[in-house]
Amino acid sequence: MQIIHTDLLTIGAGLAGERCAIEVAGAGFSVVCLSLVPARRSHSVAAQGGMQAALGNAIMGDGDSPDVHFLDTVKGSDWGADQEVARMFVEAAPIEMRRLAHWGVPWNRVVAGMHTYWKGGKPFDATEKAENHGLIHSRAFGGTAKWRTCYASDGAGHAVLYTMDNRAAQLGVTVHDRSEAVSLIHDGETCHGAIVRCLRTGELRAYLARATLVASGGYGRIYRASTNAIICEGTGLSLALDTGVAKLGNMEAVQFHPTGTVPTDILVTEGCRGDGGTLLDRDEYRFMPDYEPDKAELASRDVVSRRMIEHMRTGKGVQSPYGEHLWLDIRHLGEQHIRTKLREVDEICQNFLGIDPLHQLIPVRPTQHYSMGGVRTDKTGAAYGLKGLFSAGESACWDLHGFNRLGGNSLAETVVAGGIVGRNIAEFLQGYDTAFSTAHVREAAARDDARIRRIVSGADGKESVYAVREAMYDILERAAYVFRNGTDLTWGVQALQEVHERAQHIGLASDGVGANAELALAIRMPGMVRLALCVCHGALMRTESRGSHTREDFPERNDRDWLNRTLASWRPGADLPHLDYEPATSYVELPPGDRGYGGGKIIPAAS
Amino acid sequence: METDCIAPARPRSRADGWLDWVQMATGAALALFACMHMIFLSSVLFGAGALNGLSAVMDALHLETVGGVLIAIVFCVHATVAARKIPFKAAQAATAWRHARLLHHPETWAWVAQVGTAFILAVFITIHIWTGLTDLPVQALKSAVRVQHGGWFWVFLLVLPALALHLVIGAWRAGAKWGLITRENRADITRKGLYLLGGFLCLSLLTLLRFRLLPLE
Amino acid sequence: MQRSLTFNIFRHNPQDPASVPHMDTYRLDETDSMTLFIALHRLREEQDPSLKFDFCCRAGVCGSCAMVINGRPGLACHTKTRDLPDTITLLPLPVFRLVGDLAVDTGTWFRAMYQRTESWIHTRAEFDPAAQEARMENEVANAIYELDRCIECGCCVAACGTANLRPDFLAPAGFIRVARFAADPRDQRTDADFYEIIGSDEGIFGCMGLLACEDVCPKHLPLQNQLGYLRRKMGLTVLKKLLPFGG
Ligand SMILES: Cc1cc2nc3c(=O)[nH]c(=O)nc-3n(C[C@H](O)[C@H](O)[C@H](O)COP(=O)(O)OP(=O)(O)OC[C@H]3O[C@@H](n4cnc5c(N)ncnc54)[C@H](O)[C@@H]3O)c2cc1C
Ligand code: HEM
Ligand code: HEM
Ligand code: SF4
Ligand code: F3S
Ligand code: FES
Repeated sequence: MQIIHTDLLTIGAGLAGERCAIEVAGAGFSVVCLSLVPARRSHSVAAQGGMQAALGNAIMGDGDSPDVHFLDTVKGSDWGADQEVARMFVEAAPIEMRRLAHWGVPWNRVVAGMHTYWKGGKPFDATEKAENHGLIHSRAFGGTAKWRTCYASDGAGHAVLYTMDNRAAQLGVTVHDRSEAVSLIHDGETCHGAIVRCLRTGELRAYLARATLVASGGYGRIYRASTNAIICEGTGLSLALDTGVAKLGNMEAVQFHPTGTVPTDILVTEGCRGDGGTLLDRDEYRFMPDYEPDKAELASRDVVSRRMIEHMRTGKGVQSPYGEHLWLDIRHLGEQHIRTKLREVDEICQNFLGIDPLHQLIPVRPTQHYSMGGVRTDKTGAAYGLKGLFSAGESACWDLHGFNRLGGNSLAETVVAGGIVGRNIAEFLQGYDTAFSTAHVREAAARDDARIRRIVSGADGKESVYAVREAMYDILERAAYVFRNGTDLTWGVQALQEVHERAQHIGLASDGVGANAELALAIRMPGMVRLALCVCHGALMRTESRGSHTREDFPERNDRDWLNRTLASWRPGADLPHLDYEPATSYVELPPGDRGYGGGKIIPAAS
Repeated sequence: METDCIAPARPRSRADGWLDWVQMATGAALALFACMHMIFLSSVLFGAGALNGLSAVMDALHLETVGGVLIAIVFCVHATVAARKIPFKAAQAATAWRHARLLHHPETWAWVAQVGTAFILAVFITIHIWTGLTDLPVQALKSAVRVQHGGWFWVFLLVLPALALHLVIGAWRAGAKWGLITRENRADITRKGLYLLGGFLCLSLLTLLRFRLLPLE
Repeated sequence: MQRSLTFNIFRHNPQDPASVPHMDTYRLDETDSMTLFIALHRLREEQDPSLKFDFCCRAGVCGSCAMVINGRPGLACHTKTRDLPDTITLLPLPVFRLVGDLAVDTGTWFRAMYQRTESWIHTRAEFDPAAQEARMENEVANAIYELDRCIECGCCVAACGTANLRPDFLAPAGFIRVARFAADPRDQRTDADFYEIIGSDEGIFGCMGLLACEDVCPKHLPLQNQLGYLRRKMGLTVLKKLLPFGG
């Protein structure tokens, strides 16, 4: 078995992983990034909308400041965020946007003079200031007081990821793509790297690293309908969970995006609504103003998702062979706007749905979109429980987003957290030595090797991996979607435990040789079911509604009992995650209050 | 773990830049010459006298000898330089052929046609230039004899379309490479290229027929 | 009326010594809005779990799923079966190393390309975290973005005859990358610097103007215009070198 030594191993070469890598490589350390796919195909590339940073250059962002951004973020999180982290984030975000500009991101820029913008389906004129001409521009995004989202046409994620990967290449960061970390090498106290499976050949390799970073993105693909790339299966999280000591935070906090298309679940950007797109029901009636008179379609996405489901439940949904949906209407934005500013959306409609958004309505429904939960870290990015293990980006619970992430904050988080955590890792590596025990490496590799052999030979059974996955999908769809309730969740946890048992008996139908996708999924499957259990069990226990976690049987936000963060860990041999809780934030700048949207009662904290 | 990658670039070379200019310039010169040549010869359509008259004028100015030698040199240079692009190895040729068959792409086929016709031109134009230059000045009767009794009729029947194709595709290609043909005007220029191809073919075939039917007395 | 589709799919597993390249045939009933993404996954999950192919974003933005679809390189995830005939032949992209069946190793190829083109901003300016960003005209930003939109799918490389003939050809994707930096005022490289990268037959002078790249690029990058632009730029650079006062 090949053994590769490096100072930092990052599991994930998306924006967060590479941003960290750049920081650490820039400090003179060796870095290897792993990725399931070539770095630039990481899911960050798919983000269209943009990144939030309080630059305040645009006239509609006039008067913006980190303070306002902070308020939006903490309110958005429904007070689930760590406020110290949020503060660090909002202060650093503008600098990171400028740094990205310096590295080559073609941010859209302010053009002085009068422009026509759209809000709530109506055009209005605004005059950009002459003194801001040529500075980074921003657009509107749901749930923000100011226009604050830096964007690059309709491909912010693409533009930033390509720039980031360019920068990484410049600094000599090594990326091993088609390489999947399958377990962490650790001794219960310190993390020493990972056992990695080559997705080209199927070989196992060991990476020994003084520091290991999980930056593996979200776990959206434990759901059937998700806007995430199909590689977002949460493997990075499940290897942390499998150590038995690391903890996953707030796994039940899963965000649903209001406008996933039907049937392919491709996201059409929030920008559509930001620019004035409206939601219509079967009668082509615009219903959002009835529920949210102020913000209408621009309310935060959990609110919009919830209202959509609520409205569909009144029988106003559109029936289709792929289930019920509603309509997104952008026809009135005009040809110029749709074909240029919303070109990506236009292409999605034409290429994937076969409709022309200039003349036709777009079928949409709430779809899994973002996972707030992740490997729980402290504010420096160090994971709970294991020394030398770090996490950043969507895979982390740093915890900027609490129970609901603001659109545009996650992409910004990847680079801001990446920078901060990267600096911390570099500091950590300075003068840090660790002894690698060959026994641990051998043990870890032998365990993985044996497990893989048993799956290939069918020694443990002949369960079909696809059947197991379907079963998991079905359960989550019923028990842990936009609306949740005790009955379904209780059933869901139990049903998932059965599926978890089945997942131990997966056997292949194919030979498993080389770049075999069935085997790769079979290896991930038990871990994915464990993540699903963390979601379901966490959601069952959390008897309140907060952010995107909505309990029909507990509709009020309960600050008295639940102003805290769920921490899930998986003890060896257990069939349920072990849950404990910690306060949402120890630093309080903004005491819990009303979000100003979404309605709902609040049970105040006992003072 | 495999880490091999595409071969590293050879360090930059000024030669390649120059050769590219030379290839385009010689190709363009030949194309221009071929058009003039055709128009010149087509004067025979108005009778042997017209051609002989023109030829006499040109010969008096020594255009036929000097120009002829020059164009012979240009021809050789073009052939040598452009041949760099031809996949001579069997495996390469097979790759090119398989690729063209797979792709269903007219412009890629056009390139295959250009390479194919280049071989025809290489053989026959060389001989033709030799025959032409050793038998100056150009006179309608000499040509008519060659065409009617020297087997040249059949040669030209092959060479004419080959030349027309190579020329028009070549001109189009040079335009595409150097950006004169853009995304915006491509369809338009391609259509015009086809007209040129047709015109060139018609004119030269008529000329050939005329030589064929020219009374030998 | 519902069609029954026939898929002829290239099969070869380079990791299996016993595997020989061949074509396999599958049948599938077409459904509404079916794309090759949906079809191939159904084939793998329902008929042959050993089928190898790559998808990632399944939304036409990541560039993973390029393959040769009835002769043409294209993105499988945004190819609707209703636009195809009853019989669909799928081959892996040529030029790139085969990973298995329809999956090829574009990652390695593109990484070598970044190194060759030095695909990053070359500047002597230092980043100053306390300073306001340097200004840029929005039109310039948009123009850069237009050239930055390449998703590295490899379609253009696979479709280019020159790239098929010579493995050291930088290929259209490499040229568009150079064009992207040449258009960026933040990059201080001169024409002479770019000449070092693309001024050869492995570079821009190797392009034969086949324009297949232009015709297959799923993102409609302005390949043709940019290739012509770069050739003129490099052609002029080499001419200038002859002149006594030239750069
Ligand atoms: C369609 C869509 C649009 C979005 N738009 C926006 C937006 O406009 N604004 C915004 O702020 N946010 C947006 N988001 C969210 C945002 O894109 C993501 O949260 C963010 O990109 C995550 O980045 P990351 O670096 O953490 O992870 P990713 O970019 O997902 O990268 C994960 C990396 O980990 C690798 N990996 C995973 N598992 C393993 C393993 N086991 N071994 C080795 N490598 C592994 C992957 O290959 C990949 O390289 C959007 C999300 C979606 C789904
Ligand atoms: C021995 C005979 C010839 C050979 C072997 C030959 C070969 C070629 C080849 C292979 C090309 C393609 C080059 C490329 O794509 O990069 C080419 C281009 C061209 N040829 Fe020829 N050719 C010959 C004669 C001619 C003649 C007689 C003419 C004019 C009538 C001509 C005109 C052109 C033109 C205009 C081009 C385009 C130039 C360019 O793309 O740079 N060629 N030739
Ligand atoms: C170098 C000097 C050349 C001379 C003196 C010359 C002369 C002639 C003459 C006299 C003819 C009439 C037929 C004959 O006599 O065989 C002829 C025909 C022809 N020549 Fe040339 N030629 C020259 C170069 C070329 C070149 C370089 C080309 C290719 C580009 C060319 C292409 C042709 C063709 C295609 C015909 C047949 C025309 C027809 O029948 O319509 N010649 N040439
Ligand atoms: S230029 Fe177009 S075809 Fe080529 S790799 Fe980029 S996106 Fe794909
Ligand atoms: S297909 Fe190839 S030859 Fe040139 S025009 Fe495109 S790079
Ligand atoms: S899967 Fe991403 S482009 Fe097709």
